Amino acid sequence: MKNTEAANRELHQAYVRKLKIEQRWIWFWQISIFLIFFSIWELASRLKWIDPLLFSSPSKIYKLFIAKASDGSLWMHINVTLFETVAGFIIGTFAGILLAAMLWWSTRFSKIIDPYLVILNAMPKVALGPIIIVALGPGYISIIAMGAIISIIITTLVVYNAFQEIDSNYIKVLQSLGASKRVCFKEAIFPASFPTMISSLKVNVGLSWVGVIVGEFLVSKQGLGYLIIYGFQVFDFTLVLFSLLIIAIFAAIMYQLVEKLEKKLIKH
Amino acid sequence: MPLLSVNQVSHHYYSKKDYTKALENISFTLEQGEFISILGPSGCGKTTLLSIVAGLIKPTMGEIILGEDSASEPGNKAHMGYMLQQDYLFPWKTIKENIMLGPKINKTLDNSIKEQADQMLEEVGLQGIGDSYPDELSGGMRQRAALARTLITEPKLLLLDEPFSALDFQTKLRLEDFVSQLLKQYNKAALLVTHDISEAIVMSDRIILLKPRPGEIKQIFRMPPELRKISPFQARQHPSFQAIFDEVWKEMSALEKY
Ligand SMILES: Nc1ncnc2c1ncn2[C@@H]1O[C@H](COP(=O)(O)OP(=O)(O)OP(=O)(O)O)[C@@H](O)[C@H]1O
Ligand SMILES: [Mg+2]
Repeated sequence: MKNTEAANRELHQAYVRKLKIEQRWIWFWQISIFLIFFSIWELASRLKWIDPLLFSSPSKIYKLFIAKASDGSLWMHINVTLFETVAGFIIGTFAGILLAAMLWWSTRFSKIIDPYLVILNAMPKVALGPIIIVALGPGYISIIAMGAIISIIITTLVVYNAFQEIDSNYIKVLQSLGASKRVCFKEAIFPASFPTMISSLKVNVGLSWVGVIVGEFLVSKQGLGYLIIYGFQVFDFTLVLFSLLIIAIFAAIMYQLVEKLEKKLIKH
Repeated sequence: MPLLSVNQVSHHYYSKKDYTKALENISFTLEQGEFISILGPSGCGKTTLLSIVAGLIKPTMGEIILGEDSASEPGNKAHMGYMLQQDYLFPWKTIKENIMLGPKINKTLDNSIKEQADQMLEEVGLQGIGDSYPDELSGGMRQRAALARTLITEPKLLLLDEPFSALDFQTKLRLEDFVSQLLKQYNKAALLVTHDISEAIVMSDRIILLKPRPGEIKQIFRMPPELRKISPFQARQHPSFQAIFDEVWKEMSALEKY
């Protein structure tokens, strides 16, 4: 008995070792791809395989990063864009959920409003940019509005759909215990749709970045979107690519944070 | 005045194209402390009838009279405990939270209710699993938890939609005895839907046999008092059990031809 116990443990350890080796290989290739990509880029730029004026090079971008980081202007731009994105994301998501709750509350309202929602959903929201800027002024309010409006309608539709999908017998259970409509929402509809809301958070993070960057293209004097459009105008493509990399990094960080939040919230 | 009067209730389900007659002209009364079983083939409107009595569906015609008032008044719902055909435990709540849902909704949640919930768990044989989630339980355990959720509100009238159908035979017999004893002790009334003829016989004062399409009362059987005095378990072995079983069986088999 003791012997087989030891043997089993041995087998398990072999299995764990195999997993570790596999994981190392995956890391190895991930880092390799990263290094190879940037090395080829640098090389191609130096050897003039690609036009260095248009495609810049990692070393130039790095130098720009050092310069911008030390004079503090980089943090200002990042701050502005992050604030606008987070605000747009939160407002868009919450307004969407609120609207979905209103639709659930009144079936008649939801039937009346349905075709308008379909049209609004189909419309490319960034096309509303000029109108929003005229209405709300050329400032960060407009940009936040862009970040929010791009995700409101889709959140509403997805969450409302989840509200409707719940088995009506759960409502029957609550009603038989004397629950009001409000209690039914709180005890059944809302918690049952919680996973959908969380997954719509993940979608909305990405959408809000789109809205905010386009908004900054249109009006702003600050932010990462502004840096891109400014770099484009003065033909400084190092600046354009630099901003792009910063956006990629921060969008990925935000996505990871939302994913962490999801894991924490959906335990049961 | 009876606890519950069902007066000429008919119910139709409507769709755009057509309508289904689920119930047709159902009338009966239920006295304080009485136990009635509703027996009938699948689709004859048993669940519909129970939902109407619970006030969750408004019948197309007829009315439900409860004591003095009508079932449509929300205040009366608290006096009824409705156990649906499936357990419908909320998966994101623990078993104990599920059981205390009624008191929570009625804002009577306090420490004594929590103790009562523990006691209730013990009585349905689920002690020690109050902190588990429904998906960690077997089908029979879930059904017992749903029974506990219904009983904790101390309803005057219990509406049970096949509460014992997913249970193994031993648990079923034990719970039949438990429910029967509880109802007798507190002189509560119950309306039980079941497919199981012997269960209907050993639990009830009267059995209402429904015939399908549309659901109409085919016959009402009154159980003899000697069976009512003893527990369901003992009633199954009583000499007069078999004769009643054969009688109900004959009538029910005749319905299959519909
Ligand atoms: N929500 C509904 N919409 C339309 N028709 C319905 C609905 N619920 C039930 N019905 C129909 O009404 C009839 C009675 O249904 P009900 O669920 O009351 O039967 P039941 O006696 O409880 O059956 P079972 O023993 O299988 O549970 C059936 O023909 C069914 O198809
Ligand atoms: Mg049924």
